[in-house]
Amino acid sequence: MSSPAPNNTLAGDRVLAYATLAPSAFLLLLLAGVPTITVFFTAMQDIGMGDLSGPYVGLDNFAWALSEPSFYTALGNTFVWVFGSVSLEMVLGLGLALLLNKAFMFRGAARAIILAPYLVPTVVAVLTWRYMLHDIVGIVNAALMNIGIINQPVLWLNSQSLAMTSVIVVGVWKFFPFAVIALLGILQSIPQEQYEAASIDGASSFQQFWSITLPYVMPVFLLTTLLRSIWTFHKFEIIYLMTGGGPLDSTTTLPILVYIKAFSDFEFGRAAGGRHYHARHLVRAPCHLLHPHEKSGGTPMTALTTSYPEASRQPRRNFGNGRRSSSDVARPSLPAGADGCLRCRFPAFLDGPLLIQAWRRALHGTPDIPA
Amino acid sequence: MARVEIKEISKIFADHNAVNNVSLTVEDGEFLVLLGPSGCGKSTLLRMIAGLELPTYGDIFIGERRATRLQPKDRNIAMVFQNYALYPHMTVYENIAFPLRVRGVDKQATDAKVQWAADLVGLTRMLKRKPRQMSGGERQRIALARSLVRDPDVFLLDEPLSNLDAKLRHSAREELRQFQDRVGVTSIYVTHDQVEAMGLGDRIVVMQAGTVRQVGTPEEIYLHPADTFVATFMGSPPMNLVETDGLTLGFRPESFLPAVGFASDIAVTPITFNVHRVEYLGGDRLLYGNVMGSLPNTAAIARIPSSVAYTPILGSEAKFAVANADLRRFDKDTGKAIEQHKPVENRRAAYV
Repeated sequence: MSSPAPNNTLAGDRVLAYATLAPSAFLLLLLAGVPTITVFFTAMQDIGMGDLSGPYVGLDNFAWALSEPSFYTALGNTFVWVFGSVSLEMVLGLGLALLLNKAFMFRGAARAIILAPYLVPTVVAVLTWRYMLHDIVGIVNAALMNIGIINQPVLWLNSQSLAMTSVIVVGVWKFFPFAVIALLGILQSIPQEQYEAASIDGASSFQQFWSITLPYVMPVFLLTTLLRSIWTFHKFEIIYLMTGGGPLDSTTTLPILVYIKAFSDFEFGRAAGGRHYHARHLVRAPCHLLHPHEKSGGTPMTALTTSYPEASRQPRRNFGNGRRSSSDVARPSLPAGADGCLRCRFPAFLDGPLLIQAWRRALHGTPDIPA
Repeated sequence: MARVEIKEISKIFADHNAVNNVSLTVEDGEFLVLLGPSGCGKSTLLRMIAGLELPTYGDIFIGERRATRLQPKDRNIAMVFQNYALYPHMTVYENIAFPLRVRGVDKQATDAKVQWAADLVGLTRMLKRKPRQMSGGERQRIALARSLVRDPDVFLLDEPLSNLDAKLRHSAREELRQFQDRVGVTSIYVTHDQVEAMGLGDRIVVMQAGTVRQVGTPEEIYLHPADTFVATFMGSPPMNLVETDGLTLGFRPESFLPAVGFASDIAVTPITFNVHRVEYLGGDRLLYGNVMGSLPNTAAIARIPSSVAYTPILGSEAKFAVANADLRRFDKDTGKAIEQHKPVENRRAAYV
């Protein structure tokens, strides 16, 4: 008589377990596993938008990234963005969570209001903030000038020195409620008895905070910091909608760099000069249409585009976009930032040149963009 | 060590009177138990002594000091909570040392004191562990040691045994009592468990709805309840109450016995008892039935030791009796006991 190996599950249980796991496992593989693997193969190929395939180039693309100054600029910007946003969010979040954990009148209402920024869609929030931070018509400058703190408008989003700070402030405003919710949750789970015991033991308020509140909160605080760091690291839309990565490349973080690379340069990167020219305009045309006055340096559209020395450019090896690329030395005739709309960076790759020309004619009666 | 005096204290919350005009004196070194059903105000009273709640009216004296408005930390009291309120991220050592650390006691003195307290509760070998690695009984001992290191004047204990399972609770009760005898510190202990109260207390304060119903030794309270509430709250099963014309008669199940067994020289009150059901509990049998005959038909329980040879016949009337000395009389309307307290007698000797 041989004793069978111990097995405490019924045969049917096991089948059911795998059957119920299968859909999730399949979706996970499909949506997370496949892209993770394919992105490695994509990264090792020279791929253009036209046919979505290209020759195998090994680690060339990585070598390019590491040799590209704009990559390092974006890396630095990303660090400032992540560190600035997350540290402010967490400090502000902890402070407000502690405040909201205390009993006071209208606490329920205060908690609901605190959540509001998190619930507002990013597009709405950003458009509102851009109005508020507008140098001429924005309420922020108006208020500060009325109070007398400043005597001329501050270029919150249009100056290299302030743009990142402004974007961080908006980001913190938008996302600090997450920290508040997470920390308030853990604060409320601290047994009141702990504080009562400590107060009998003779601990002051600060000692109670240091010895009870902080150790309780710390795991959630660290986890929230980690999550917020990850999410902030690849946060795209709030920066892109605020500044488009500019002025120059002062707010170009890695996701913005990748986006520009993929959807404004890559797409037509392998095309010859003429096609490249179109690509550049596809990106920017709606801005020119909507905000022709925003072009600094007064360079007319046609002059700008025709003076562009396309032939000398290496489309795959820079950002093809003088506004953003510090390595782009092939445009000495234009001041930096001259060819972009400083106010709006409308993602225009969805539009076609013919449509743009039709708009221009309809709106301004101006000559066509040379095709 | 100190005497605690509570004078006409009341606590009024927004919607109800939690404690209503209570006066109490706890003698130096005494173990006093506050006993009552949940919501009777016993915990609120304890928290007022601790300083965690402020009384609406009245005064609290600890030792010679008026402590009514003192901060908890200035009262020199120690408190053991129901969930022990140990600091989960600190080791046993750090937990015990916490009251000394926050008061700025130097490291050497702290170390000596922690060792002494840990030794007293038998935790010396576990000082480096965290509370979550310890059993319920061990956690209770950490809480005791932590409250001990400061040499408090008064020990306050808020249902410290209620989180333990029944077996552990019994041994922890034993330990706690021995511990208090050794330390000799004035202790006030809150519980809703009458067995705990009887086993631990030098005196018991029975509370209900914010008022004190009776204060006395366990014997006094059990044998001579001051009113029908105390009579039914103490004892399991509770005292049988039979309402007659003018007054309520009360007798404990263990005093309610077959009439044949009483010695002839004992004055008894015969009662007719109709048994419906018998519950065998090992040492005793519980007989559920109705008293009838000259008394109004009322449900009652008799508790007969298994050593007494008696076979109840279900559904037929039997002759039972209660020794007159064990019969209690209460006012029918107020529920208050009518007789004066009598000295405790040796009743068992009278029954065969």
